[in-house]
Amino acid sequence: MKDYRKEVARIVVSCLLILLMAEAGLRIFFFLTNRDIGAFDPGYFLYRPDIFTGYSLAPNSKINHITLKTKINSLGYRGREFTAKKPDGTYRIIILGGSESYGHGLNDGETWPDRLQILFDADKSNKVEVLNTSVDGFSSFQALTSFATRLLDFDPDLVLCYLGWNDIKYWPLISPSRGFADTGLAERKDSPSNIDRWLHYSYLYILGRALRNKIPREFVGISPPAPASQPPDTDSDLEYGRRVFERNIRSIVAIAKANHIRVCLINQLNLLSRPLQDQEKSRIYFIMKEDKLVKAVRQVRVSLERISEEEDVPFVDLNALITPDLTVLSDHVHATPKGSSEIARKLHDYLIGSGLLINAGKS
Amino acid sequence: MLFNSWEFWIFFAAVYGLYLLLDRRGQNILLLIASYFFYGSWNYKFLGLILASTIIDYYCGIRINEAADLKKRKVFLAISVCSNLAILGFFKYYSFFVDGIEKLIRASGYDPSLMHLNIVLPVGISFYTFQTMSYTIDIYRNKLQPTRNILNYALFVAFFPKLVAGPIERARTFLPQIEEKRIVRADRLLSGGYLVLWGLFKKVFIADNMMRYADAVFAGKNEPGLQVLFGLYAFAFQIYADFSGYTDIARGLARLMGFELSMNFNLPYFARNPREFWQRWHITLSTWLKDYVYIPLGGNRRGRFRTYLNLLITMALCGLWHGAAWHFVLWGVYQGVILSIHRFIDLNVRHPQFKLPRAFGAALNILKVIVFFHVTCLGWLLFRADSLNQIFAMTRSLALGFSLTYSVFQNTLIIAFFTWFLMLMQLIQYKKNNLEILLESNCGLQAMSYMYMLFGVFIFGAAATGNFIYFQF
Repeated sequence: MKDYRKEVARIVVSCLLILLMAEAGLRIFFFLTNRDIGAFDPGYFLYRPDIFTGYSLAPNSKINHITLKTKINSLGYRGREFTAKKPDGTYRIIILGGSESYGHGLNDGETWPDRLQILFDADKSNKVEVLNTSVDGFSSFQALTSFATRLLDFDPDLVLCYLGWNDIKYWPLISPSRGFADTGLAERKDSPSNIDRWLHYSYLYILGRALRNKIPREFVGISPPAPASQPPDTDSDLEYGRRVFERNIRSIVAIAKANHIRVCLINQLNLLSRPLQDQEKSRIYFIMKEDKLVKAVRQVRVSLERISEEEDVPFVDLNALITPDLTVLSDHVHATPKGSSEIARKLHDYLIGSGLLINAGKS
Repeated sequence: MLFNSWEFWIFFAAVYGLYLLLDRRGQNILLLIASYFFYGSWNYKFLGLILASTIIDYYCGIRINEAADLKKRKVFLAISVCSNLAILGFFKYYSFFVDGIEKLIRASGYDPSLMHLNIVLPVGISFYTFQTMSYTIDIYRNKLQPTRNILNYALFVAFFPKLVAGPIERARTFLPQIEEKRIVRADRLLSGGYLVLWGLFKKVFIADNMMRYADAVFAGKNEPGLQVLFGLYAFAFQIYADFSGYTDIARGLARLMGFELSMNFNLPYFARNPREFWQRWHITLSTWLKDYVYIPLGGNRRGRFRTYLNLLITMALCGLWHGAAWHFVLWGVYQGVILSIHRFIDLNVRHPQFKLPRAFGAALNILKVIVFFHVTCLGWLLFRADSLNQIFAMTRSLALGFSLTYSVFQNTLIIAFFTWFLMLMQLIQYKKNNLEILLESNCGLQAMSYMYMLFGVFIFGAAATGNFIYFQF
């Protein structure tokens, strides 16, 4: 006669052993191969909920993975440490942007704000500090909110606005025709529950979740279901989105002017700013139909130009200075390390040449 | 309270803790109260309905048994059956028939204004009304003695693990378990726990994830044939894992408390023909229909034509039982037709007199399983489709719109990722002819399997949690 009590106990112990062995095996593997589990769930390890912007970068967080090295400083921004109070004799440049200037997929030191800092560091005549306050997924609304609620305290001298793509991403969602379905915080992160926090101590759990997120949610090749009422990229949707974008940028400019801060508007380097080649098309994240997307990208440039003229602030179209192709961009809008260097060099030259840095290091 | 919700498990832990402390009578009262609470948590207003059905059938059962003449027995049987059918008919089929009649009248040129009611379908109504009807019919047929304890009878009707989606239990197998002392043993705890976990795994990991893929295909327009096929595969796994998962959880919970519920699924996708399929799929419904519809209609005793007709009628009713919609009826008729065709072939085509080589026989069996699985999938198209137009469009895609694309490999991988463990387990279960074969393997293999299932439930469970399909029936 089988003793089932012992059988149950044996199975329970075996389960625990398997769990422990798998967890320990993963940890050893990650340690030996220089991998960081955080790279499999950056949303949890790098971000925190934020009352103003929906989410923001978690201070002192880092990912030190074989393919990605990211460190967030003690104030919650990517890049080197800086103090909230501006050091005497320093000219502060703040960069407002999303993943395009945050440096999505790039290691520390490879982003264009990092490269820009290096260029200024090499130039001993100016003491310039470049604060990269960009966050993955931030739109002009979040940049404006962040600027008005936090960044003014850093006492910047110049603000570089590198915004556009994330706004376009939200345009189809925010129009009145869809009842203001989204407020622009589409990637809002909720505070993790205590259970979730506990589970995140397990490598098995994190890898399992990463695997879950990797599996396509629909069969590959399936045609998207017909929209319920109206396609999410009508001209009126785009027009409304553009107006919101323009309003946000004007607000940033107004706040900056009121605080005697200079502003420079930059049109992002974008593959869609010129006719696409077949190879390039596969790298585009088509959030709407191609013709609408091209139109939206053009509208961003037109809006920035108009604001520049009307508000008398400088405007730089990077697409006129650098040929956007797959050597400088890894996809539609994210720079490669080479692209970062190019962007930084062009902007450095522009800032020096345009006189925007007058009094730099002497403020 | 769904079996795959935390609320249910808190409820069950509380009930089970108390259950272990009580004697048999106390346990029965506790289970009855818990069952009504469980049912009331869906919609307390329908508690009256289940109580009414319980009292009517309990009373009719005794009166049928006591009645001296056949006429009286028939009267009480009629009261029982009619009251159950009236409850079922009103709540489940009223709108369906009113709509149908209205359309008919409109087609003849009139503009009727029939009374439309906004009727909410009580959860599990098809299951418990079938159980209570079988009780009085069995007493009428002298196959069962009525119980004289209304609490025991009420528990037979309302026992919460099987209340909302079966299995459809017979009183002659379940009532004795209520009336006798039950022992909770370690082996039953182990096998009950296994069934619960296996059922949760099937529901949460396989069914809920397959649902996403199937839903996307059925929501699409003019999908190519290959996508439709993948959608049907996904739905075939979804509906099987969903319903059999529910049954496994129900059987596991019952076993933890010392009860044994009937087996409802026995590897249905290993069926080689429709008859075998219905011996393996929703067994408690198919045996119910056989005992109380097909055989009373005459079964196969009244000639070939009547046999085919009886099959069609029984299966059409089976379709209608699933829901008040034409596509369910169509699915039922489809099942009736393939059962009839199979019966016709079986009776008219001579089997070879010589013995086939073993390997050839095995290959032929595999081929039959694969072919019949696709026949079943075609049936699921009728079952799942939202309209006749969709059935035509998808059938046309299946027949004419095939083209091999790179996505075949990727989509096969998706299905394989979610179903490989189920398929492997079932292959072993089939080969060993033992549905609980895992319990007989060594504890290391058991532990690995349980960990994999837990991993599937907890990691992939949060992605999508859906209602059980059969709750709506």
